[in-house]
Amino acid sequence: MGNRGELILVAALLLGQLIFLAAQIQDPDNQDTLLDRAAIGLTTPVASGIDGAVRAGEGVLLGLRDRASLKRENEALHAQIELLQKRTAEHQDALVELSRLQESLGYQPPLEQEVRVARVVFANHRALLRRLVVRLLDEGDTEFAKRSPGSAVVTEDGLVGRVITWLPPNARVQLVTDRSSSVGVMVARTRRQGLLRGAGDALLLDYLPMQADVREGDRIVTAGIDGVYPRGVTVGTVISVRAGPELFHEVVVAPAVDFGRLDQVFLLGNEAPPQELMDGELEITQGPGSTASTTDREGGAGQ
Amino acid sequence: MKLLRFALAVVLAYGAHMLLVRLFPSTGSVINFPTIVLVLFARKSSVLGAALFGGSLGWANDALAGSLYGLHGIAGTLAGAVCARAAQQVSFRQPALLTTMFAVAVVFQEVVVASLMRLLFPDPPAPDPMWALLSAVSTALVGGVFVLGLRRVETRWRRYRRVRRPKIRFQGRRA
Repeated sequence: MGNRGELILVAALLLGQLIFLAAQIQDPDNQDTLLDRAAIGLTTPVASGIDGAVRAGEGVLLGLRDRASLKRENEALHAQIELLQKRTAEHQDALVELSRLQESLGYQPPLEQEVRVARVVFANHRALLRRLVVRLLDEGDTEFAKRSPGSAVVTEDGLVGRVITWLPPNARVQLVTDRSSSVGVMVARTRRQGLLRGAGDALLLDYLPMQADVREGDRIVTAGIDGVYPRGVTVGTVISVRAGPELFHEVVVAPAVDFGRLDQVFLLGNEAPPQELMDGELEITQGPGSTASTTDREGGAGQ
Repeated sequence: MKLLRFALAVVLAYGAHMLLVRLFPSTGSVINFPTIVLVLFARKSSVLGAALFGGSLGWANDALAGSLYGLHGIAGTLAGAVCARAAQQVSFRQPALLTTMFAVAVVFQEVVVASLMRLLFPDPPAPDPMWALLSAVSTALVGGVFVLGLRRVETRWRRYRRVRRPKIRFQGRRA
């Protein structure tokens, strides 16, 4: 093939990719695509294999280097286990007492949340879109993905993000710092709600009116109003508050989680409310034998 | 055979990337291993072949990072084609030239990605010139050391094969 023919083919290759790229930008909300699933299916096994080898190597090196300190740590952990066992026994007594009180008051506690542990398989912290690939430790658990399609992802430090594509046991996670991420949050001190959106490395708290009380150092937690994230998970800390150009504050929040150090994460099961309810189309029962949809009611109110 | 070596090199490059990110989370991704693979393969390929190598490396990056498919693909395709074209004009036998090529390829890809984002997004994130410079220098250094090491191994292997005595036996006697 001549130089000219080669150049034409390269140009066609570039043009094809550019058109494909532009088509993806046209439809930014469609994150769970067939292509994305195929990409996870093809790349994650390789990435997972490499990750496993890296971990094994790390484990051997760590074992050789820290043998003495591991022995000491083991002894300290044994002592801690004994202490925790004592505390657990105390807590069990308290739980029995609590359930007795709940019964006498007729209180219904919220359902326990399902939790799964996953390992971070691939991360690129300089990428345009802040995303991770994780793999469930229990690889046979495919039912969890069906039950929790948009599972919230957390660590002991706070909120990491949410699953946007499942290919069990692998999942692609959108970090809260991703530019297309938004989380319903509140200021823990005042319970004032706002919308937190990703801005690359930091987070911006939107729709917090000027009269709202927010200060540097305030802890921001999830409000549980978006149907994705449970209430009360720490998201970050306010690092700067300025007067915005309109009637809202300009609040910058530092994430609670150091995304560069993520190794294991927890995936929370989410019993999201029915989509029809979120869209305002669920039929509601008004009384025995009579039903009306919320959209009907809106129509009726207008008449 | 070349494709197989390329696939192996891609796996090794991403393995090295993952190892470094695990050891140094915030600075580990400063060395762009895929670009080292790209330059090494592109300099001995045709323009089209190098563009395909670059494109597949970019797509691997997009697929792993969950990025927009084609963003790094386009950058890789262009970088591969330019590398191959440059290698047809200038000989990259000298390590200094090859090292420079690693650095140029990193910066070139960063510029292409930044330009594409400016072109396609209404509010693109600002590029980080310091990071690009640091990445170019560190990738060039690592690539240069790797090429020198590889050449030394090749030279020794050739010397060993030259001085090795042939062990041909004729009817039980050594020739």
